[in-house]
Amino acid sequence: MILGSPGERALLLGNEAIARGAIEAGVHVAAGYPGTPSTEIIDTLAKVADRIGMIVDWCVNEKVALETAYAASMCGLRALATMKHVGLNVAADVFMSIGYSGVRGGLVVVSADDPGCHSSQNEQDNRYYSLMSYIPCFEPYCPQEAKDLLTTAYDFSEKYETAVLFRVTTRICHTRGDVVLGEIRRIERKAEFTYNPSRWVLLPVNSRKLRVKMLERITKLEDVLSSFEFNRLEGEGKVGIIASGIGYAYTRDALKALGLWGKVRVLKLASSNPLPAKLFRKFIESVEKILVVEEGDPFVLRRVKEKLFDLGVQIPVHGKGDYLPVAGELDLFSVMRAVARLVGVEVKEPSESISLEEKLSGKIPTRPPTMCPGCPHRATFYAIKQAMKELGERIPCTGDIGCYTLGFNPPFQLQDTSTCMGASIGEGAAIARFTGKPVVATIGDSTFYHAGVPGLINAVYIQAPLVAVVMDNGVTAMTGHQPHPGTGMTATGKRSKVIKIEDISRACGVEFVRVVDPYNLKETIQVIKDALEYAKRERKPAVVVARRLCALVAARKGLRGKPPVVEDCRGCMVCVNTFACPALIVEDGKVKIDEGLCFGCNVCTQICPFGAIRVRK
Amino acid sequence: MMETIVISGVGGQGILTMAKIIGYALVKKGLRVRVAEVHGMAQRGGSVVTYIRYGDVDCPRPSHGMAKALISLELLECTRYLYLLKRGGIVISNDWIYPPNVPGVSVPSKEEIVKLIEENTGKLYLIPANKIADSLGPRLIANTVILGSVAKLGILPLSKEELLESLKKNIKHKYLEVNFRAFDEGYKAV
Ligand SMILES: Cc1ncc(C[n+]2csc(CCOP(=O)(O)OP(=O)(O)O)c2C)c(N)n1
Repeated sequence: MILGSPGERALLLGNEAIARGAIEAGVHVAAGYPGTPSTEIIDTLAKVADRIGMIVDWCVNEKVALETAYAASMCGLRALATMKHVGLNVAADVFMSIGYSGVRGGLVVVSADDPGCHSSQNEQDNRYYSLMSYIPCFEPYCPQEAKDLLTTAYDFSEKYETAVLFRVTTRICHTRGDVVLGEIRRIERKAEFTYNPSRWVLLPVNSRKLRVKMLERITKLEDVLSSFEFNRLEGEGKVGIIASGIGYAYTRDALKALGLWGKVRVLKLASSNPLPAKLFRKFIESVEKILVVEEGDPFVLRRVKEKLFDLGVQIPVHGKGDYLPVAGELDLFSVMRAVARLVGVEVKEPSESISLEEKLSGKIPTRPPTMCPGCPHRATFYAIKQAMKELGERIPCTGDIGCYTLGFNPPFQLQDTSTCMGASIGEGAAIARFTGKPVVATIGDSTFYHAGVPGLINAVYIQAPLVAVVMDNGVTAMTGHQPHPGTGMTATGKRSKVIKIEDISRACGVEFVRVVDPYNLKETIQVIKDALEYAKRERKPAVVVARRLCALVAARKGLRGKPPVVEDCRGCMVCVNTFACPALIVEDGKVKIDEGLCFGCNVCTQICPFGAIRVRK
Repeated sequence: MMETIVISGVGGQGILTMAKIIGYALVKKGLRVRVAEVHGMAQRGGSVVTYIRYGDVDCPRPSHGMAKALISLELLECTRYLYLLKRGGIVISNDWIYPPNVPGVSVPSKEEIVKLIEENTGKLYLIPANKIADSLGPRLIANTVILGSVAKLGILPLSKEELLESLKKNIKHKYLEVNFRAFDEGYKAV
């Protein structure tokens, strides 16, 4: 479907539309690191990469992904880098430099922001990176425009020798919509590195000159973007709405629902930075008040206020912060309410539904996500908790980002911190050093490669009594099982060298390195205890690799075990209360195994104090 | 015309597949469609809600009181999202209750839940989708059972044939046979 013929009307996920856009633009190289809501762009491209001759990579982290794409651009190729919003923090160092040097082959950086924190630690609005880097920011309003705008972004990028920050949000990435497919361009180019030191070498002597060029470029783009086909004026009236990116989708539906379509002046923006100067001046000629509808921070709103100030024009501007909430995602009614308030018409509040929501939330228990049946992380957490119990100490447990962050919830409650990828080791080592007492850091395999390694080197360097438990399930699970440098496979399914966590740990200078199978509780508990005692005694870091394939991946490979049998359950509930596997269900005060859910890991058979849960013969 | 349908359930029940099947059929019918999904964290056994909007629509995320129907694969998740329904909206739900995986959680009884739903909606159709699925094969096809019921009730501007055609396009070939049967049983169940 992703390779469908031009003119075909397909149902595409926003991320698939972006992938199709890259294919239509003749992109040669696509690189990313997984992260919700960006992941399906590379996932989709990886599936067809070989057929269309595109190089598609999952990289070790976002910084390397952007370096990969930037290098492709240096070699004259069209390149795409994809990441979630916080990924751009990791890649920011490269990104800022690209603002200076500009590009050769077209380069688009997709930043998938997550307002509402569906799957993220924050709601940061990455359009600010556009201001900081002087790299223009494009924002599509729907899947169709995501495809078309991305394709256009490549011609734009090459024409003006600038990268483009392509900012999307969850409701673009993960919304399916009808998309009419376009022509697939094949651009034959050979990768050739051109020596151009005044451009690629950011020494002060070059940077000073490049900075002047960069400032001139962004000013010029204010005019260029005034006649950009994706920016336009619509409707008439004295009331104006500036609708940026997906804000335009909400604005359209709100105006239609209120019967105001065509009666309000709308400036539709697909480029939120720089603002198209001429188009903006034309817009403000006729309006007496303005509402800015945008997803995220009041980013465009602030730019608009600044522009009006510069022009010496006084028009009231509303949006995020007064008429619309800054926190969370937009929803249709919020936008309807804001528009109605601006125009001065009545809108019926859904008060009954709002009070129903409150009433229901008091009656229906919340359903936090949980680790799957057979998840090796559950066994590892159980072992960590048990080791602490046996040592008679609750030891601080710094956490990280991945499926294992769910160890935050009862019954484990073993994620005492969770900041950003890799921080468990950096923070854990520092806490251990400051307090003089051991700390357990829990980190996933993908996260270890991504940002854990420098922290581990530092832990050795500062001689911190840290026990890093690397929960190695063989894949980047949380984001949908992408391969990583420990998987032995590339994004496009080709064999690659397995880079082992234990080898890296030893090379970092860690002297205590053990690999355990978390399904073997006794061994895992013992090794964690040994590691803690070692760290305490030697004042050095230790690494325990808890290795077991993700149960979902294992199930897909047909590696399920047989569900255990329960005989003579006494109803003590130890398994349910300390292990909490979803496959352990309680009926009439006795535990049963839900055989449909059970993965057959048999870890619960090691937990029952009465031996009532037994391995099936 | 601007219509909204909500599908809810527990992560892992095939909610996204069901939404995709409906979305695909609507596109083939020539309609403009927005299907807003949730990926990532919530797919790990959490509460999942998906919006399907069609007609003259652009925005993916509706609000309180806008949906004409709520389709659910689990009763608690059905009740949780009732506030999205219009007055008199229709509810079609699997009659299964799956308690959240939280030690010591207390869950209202089926009678209480059904009463709560009936008090707040136009019409409730309870489908024993899990039981039907279990009798046919893997429990994962409960979503197709419900889809069959949806087809029968004519909630969507889609015929049975159009939904089946979409099912064919969006389900792996080797699972088609059992899904067709699930669809049929769901169709007969209302
Ligand atoms: C900088 C950054 N990039 C990407 C993500 C998205 N992300 C969240 S969890 C995760 C996967 C972690 O995988 P792993 O450490 O192997 O743990 P698993 O989920 O497999 O248990 C990723 C990539 C993020 N939160 N921050």
